[in-house]
Order: sequence, then C-alpha cells, then structure tokens
Amino acid sequence: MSLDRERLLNLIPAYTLGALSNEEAAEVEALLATDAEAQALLADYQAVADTLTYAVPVQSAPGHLRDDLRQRLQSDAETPSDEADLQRPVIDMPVWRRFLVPVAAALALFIAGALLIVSRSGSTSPESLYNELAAAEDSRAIALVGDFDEATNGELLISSDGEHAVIRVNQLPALTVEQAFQLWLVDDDGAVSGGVFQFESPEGPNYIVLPLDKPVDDYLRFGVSIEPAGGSPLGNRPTGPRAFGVTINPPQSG
Amino acid sequence: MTQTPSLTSLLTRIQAGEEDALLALHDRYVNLVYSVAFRVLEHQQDAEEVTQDVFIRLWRKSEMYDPEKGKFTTWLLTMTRRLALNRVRHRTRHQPLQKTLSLDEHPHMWEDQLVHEDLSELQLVLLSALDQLSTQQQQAIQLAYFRGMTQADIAHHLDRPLGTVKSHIRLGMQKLREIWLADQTAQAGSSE
Repeated sequence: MSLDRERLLNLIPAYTLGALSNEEAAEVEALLATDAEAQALLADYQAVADTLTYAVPVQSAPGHLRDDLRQRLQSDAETPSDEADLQRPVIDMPVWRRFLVPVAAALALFIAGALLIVSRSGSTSPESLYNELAAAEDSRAIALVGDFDEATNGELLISSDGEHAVIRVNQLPALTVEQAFQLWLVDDDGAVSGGVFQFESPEGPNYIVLPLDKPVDDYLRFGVSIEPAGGSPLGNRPTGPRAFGVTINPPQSG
Repeated sequence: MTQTPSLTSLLTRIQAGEEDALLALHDRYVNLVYSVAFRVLEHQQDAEEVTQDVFIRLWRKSEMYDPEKGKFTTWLLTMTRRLALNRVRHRTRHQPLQKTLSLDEHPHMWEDQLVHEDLSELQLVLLSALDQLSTQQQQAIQLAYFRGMTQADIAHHLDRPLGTVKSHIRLGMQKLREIWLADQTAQAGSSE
C-alpha cells in the first residue's frame, strides 16, 4: 500500500463527518472513484456516522409547530409553491429532450456558450461575476479537483448569501468535435443537467456560472462530465468520465 | 380501538396529498427532528424553522425516501442535520459556539420516542459504544458532525494541535466501526 493511499484511507472517517478541508475531500473523492476498499470503508463509516443523530438528547418540540405546519400547508395550497424552487432550469426541459433532441442539443450549446460560459477571449458576465466574487471579502472558495486529467484545476467561488456561484477552470482536456462538456448539479434528488458546452481554449481560464435554483449549500456537489456533442443520452445523469468536480456536502447514506 | 397507521401507509397517503397523514407523521417524529435541529443550531427559532422545512420537504417530495437505502428515521434525521448545517453556514460565522457538547445521557428515551420504528440493536450498541470513547474523541466527532466544523476549525476552536484533533476523530471513528462490525458478525452468527 502506498503511503499516500494509506493517508487517504485514514482520512475517510473524517470525510464521512464532513470534517476535511476542501482539498483533502477532493483527494479522498479521487481515491473513492477507483478504489473498492475505500468505497467499502466509506459505506461502513457512513453507517456509523448516521447513528450519531441518535445520540442527541431528545427534547419536546414547541407545541405550536403542528399548527404552524397546518397553516403552511393551507398557505401553500392557496398560493403557487415557493418551491417551484426545486423545479429545474429551463435547459433540461424533458419536452425538449423527448421531442427535439437535436435542436435542444444545438440550442443548449448556443445558450451555454452565450450565457453560462465565457472563455478567455470573452468579456461578459461570468468572468465579471467571478472577479466581483473574488474581490468580495465574504465570498468563499472551494477548490475543484480534476478527475479525467490531473492538470485540470480551478475553484468555485460562492457569494456570501449562497445565491451566486461561478467556476473558474484551467487545463481542461481537449475534446473532439463529437464531444462536449456537460455541467451537473447534484442534490438529494439526483443529478440535473446545467448545460452542455464547449470551450474554444480548454487551457483556460474558462468560467461557468452555475444556474442555481436554490442556495449552493442545498446541493451535494457539482461536476462536469465529457459527453457526446448533444449531451448525455440518458438526460438525467452523466454517461462519460468526469472532467472535474466540486463537493459542497459529503454524501450521506440512508 | 384505533389502530396506529404504519409508516408505509402514512407515506403512501402523503404522496396522495393527504394532509392528515403528514400531520400524523409530524406528531410521531417532530420531537426527534426538532432535537437534532436544535443540537446543530442551538437556537430555538432556527430549529423550529428547520423542523418546518423538513416536514414541508416530506410533503412535497416524500418519494425521495427509498426504503432500500435504510431506515426512515435515519434518513429523516440525516436530512434534518444537513438542512440545519446549511443554515449554520448561511448565518454569521462569528457567533460564539459552546465549547462542549454533551451526548445523550438517557438514550433509552429514544426507545420511548420511537415506539413505531424501534431502534435496532445495532444502534443501541453504538449509543453505548460512544461512552467507550474518550471525552476528547467524543467532542471532536460531535463538533464535526453537528457543527459542520473541519478538523482545522476544531483545532482552532478547542485550541488543540491539528494532529491531535485528527487522531481523536480517526481513532474514535475506528473504534465505533470496530464495534459496529463486531456486532454485525455476532448477529450473523446468531442467525445461523
């Protein structure tokens, strides 16, 4: 066993608790992607960690919560749900996928190129947003980890309120014309496409504004995979290798 | 005599849009959900709001729960913890935190609470196993799990060397896993 692998295996307990730095977590995730023993250890430690919630002293909830919930249900029934919240971005509309796949693919590429991504030669909002967040004292950064090519690097910058996030990425792998990158936003419900795109200059820096429909911390992770030019044929999950990823909340079992 | 509805039937009815089923589920689990939220947030109003969010999520997305992935209570409480931690991250990072966290001194209360979905033997074993950890190990694990602190945060918070905190977490979790594995082996042996 290499010393580095042993070091990473020893980090799995802390990873399960969400106690690693972003850099360490990214290293562990890279190991987890390929190492069966690491995956088995993670499953064990997750099962153990989940039981920690049972160690919390039980106390009675305030009695008004039941009435509050009932009122909230009534309110929701009378007004449109504010959790249209959890409905997904326009880019991944099932109707488009079902009936207009080729058009949707081309449109997604266009929209992504025009709105979400700006390469080094670009000068519009994604790079500006990145610079704005980089200058803000209360923004935070999470390093991304390259999976397909270890040279891939960059970071996710998040606004203090968690409502805005932009990725800057360098040294992406070069794609063929039959391939494209696809952004994935992953939460408890699974993965949702955030757009299909290509870059003129894979070496970067390139910028990706995340199309969030809720605060960043409500997601588990973001990732970009390498897919056929029209995007993942499965629609709701990646089929190709992951170019890079960013973890927001470590996974949990149960 | 009124029969208590099963969890499965409640979830099915919730998916069908029956508010009474959600309120029944709320009655059953609200103390547990609130307790976990309060443990993370240590703020009554925030804990109440997270508790509300949990049940609203259940209402809108009850199909998210997959029985094949584990117990409903575990799923519910890990979701509660995660939502509470999200709220911690959203609010100011400069609020003072308590330096100590106590484990439940009366774990049997959970059995009283979970009358409809009993704690497994394994969970009871793990609860008692926590007592076998050193105070420092318990503290480090709990600050990570319930406060969302990194190992570096914990070292700073407790004014201890980072390496010491890493050891406390690693050795404490290893101990819990050993007990968990031994219990699994014993259960497998007894069922043969």
